[in-house]
Amino acid sequence: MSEYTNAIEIQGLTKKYDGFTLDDISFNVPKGSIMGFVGQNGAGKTTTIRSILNIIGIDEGKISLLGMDHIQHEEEIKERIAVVFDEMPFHDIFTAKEMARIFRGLYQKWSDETFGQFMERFQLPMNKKLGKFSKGMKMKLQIAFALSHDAELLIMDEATTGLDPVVRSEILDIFLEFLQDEEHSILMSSHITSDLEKIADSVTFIDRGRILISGYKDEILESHGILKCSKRDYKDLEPEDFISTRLTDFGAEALVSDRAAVARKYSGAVIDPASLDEILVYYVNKGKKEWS
Amino acid sequence: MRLSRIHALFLKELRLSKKYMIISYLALWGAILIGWLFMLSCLYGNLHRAGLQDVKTDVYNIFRLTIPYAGCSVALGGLGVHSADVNAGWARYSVCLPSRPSEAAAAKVILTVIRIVMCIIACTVDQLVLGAMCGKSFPSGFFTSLISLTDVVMIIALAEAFFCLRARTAPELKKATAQNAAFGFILGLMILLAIMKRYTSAFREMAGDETEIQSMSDMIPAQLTGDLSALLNKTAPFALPVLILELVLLFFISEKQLKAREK
Repeated sequence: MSEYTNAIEIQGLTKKYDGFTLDDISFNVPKGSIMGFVGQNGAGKTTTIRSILNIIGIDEGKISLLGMDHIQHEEEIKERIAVVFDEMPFHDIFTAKEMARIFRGLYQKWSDETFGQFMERFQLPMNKKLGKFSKGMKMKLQIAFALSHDAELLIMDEATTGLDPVVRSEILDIFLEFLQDEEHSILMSSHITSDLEKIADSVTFIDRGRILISGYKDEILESHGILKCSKRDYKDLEPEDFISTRLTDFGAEALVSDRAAVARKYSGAVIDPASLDEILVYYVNKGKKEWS
Repeated sequence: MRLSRIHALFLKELRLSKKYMIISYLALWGAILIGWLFMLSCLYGNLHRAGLQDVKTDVYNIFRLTIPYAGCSVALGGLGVHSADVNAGWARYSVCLPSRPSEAAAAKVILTVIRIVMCIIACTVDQLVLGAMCGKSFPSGFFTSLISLTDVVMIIALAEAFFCLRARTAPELKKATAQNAAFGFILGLMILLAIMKRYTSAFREMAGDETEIQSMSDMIPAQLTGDLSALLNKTAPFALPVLILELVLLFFISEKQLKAREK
């Protein structure tokens, strides 16, 4: 395995469309980790991933995968990465066996044995037309293909969307196994934050083409919290201490980015832990400052 | 380029084209068999008993011309593999694979060559059998005429590669297909107008002629058939080099379009 610190490095990625811009996106996915890439529908997750994979051209910025420029070393990179999309990209008339024959020729490190093991584990038929597979089966098949050529980096775009909890749990376990030797990395875009809370090492939030926050998941969860108080008490607090505040009939709920500091400043305040979901919602509403 | 990748992509192309190739090749052979049955009827059956003088020659001429045309259409028509790729999502996914656009282009060209060869074989067998039935010797210019016809039909394949292979999504493909259809329409219209302009007077003469039509040659102006024969004779030495050039062009156009990225 070649030496690199970050499986993915993105600096200043910019891509402009009419009505939408990916604006100065920068984040890294450390080697041996899972990064959850979180955002609402239309936030720019898929556009970012397509830029990383060179499916679309970029206007500005630098992207490195496995320590190499994503365009100059495209062929070598693609030999060593695997991609899983939200929809299975294989023709309905093919069978898994036929697709395996094609993949065998495409990848130098393709392993029929590994593929067979995954097919057995997932209980997928080799000779059934892929068009007759269920959504869960299609996703498992994609993952079987992705993990059968010794890929170092797995990039997934909404791969668990639409799957039932049992299948999602099974797939997440596979990803954890994939990462065990710390030589493999995963970038996983999703808006199902509960999956990411289970397995991600780091998270990056994106909204309207901009990065809201990026860092280690545990640190983000540890540092962020929701301060709850009455509306009357809220008026005595300093707005710059909060990311944004949700005003309800019962009071105010404000997201803080430094729980310890806010707890010291406002002794006696009730600050509850925040989930990734809540953190995302409050950050998305950061521009409004107060919302309901 | 890696041979194993070209082979893998060729297998994919072949698998996607298989149904169309089988059906169209069977249809071609069906048309060939119909020609043979007509000829048998001319020799031993009802057409022979009807006592029509030139029907054997007419049947020979009709099928001698139409079968090669059908063969070329089968060889180069229905190149819908890319639309299947786009609809499945493979066109976008294939960008994430380690294969190069040149390898994918090579796979497409190899399949095109195989289809052309299969149709040349069918047309040659047809010509041999039909000629033997009719007592005609194998025409010396058959292969060059067939390849010249293939050269013309290849323009359609080149146009489709140019317009459609760039598309990665359904909306892009829809737009590309419309552009391709518009190009085909305009080209066909220009050829038709050119033929009409050159041979209108000949057709008018024939229309005014009250001689009874007794054979196929009575339906087509002599000037048209004469010019066509002369054209085929002139282009015969260039037929194969032009086909090779077109296949090379098909490769480079396919490679360039497959390299293109979505906007």
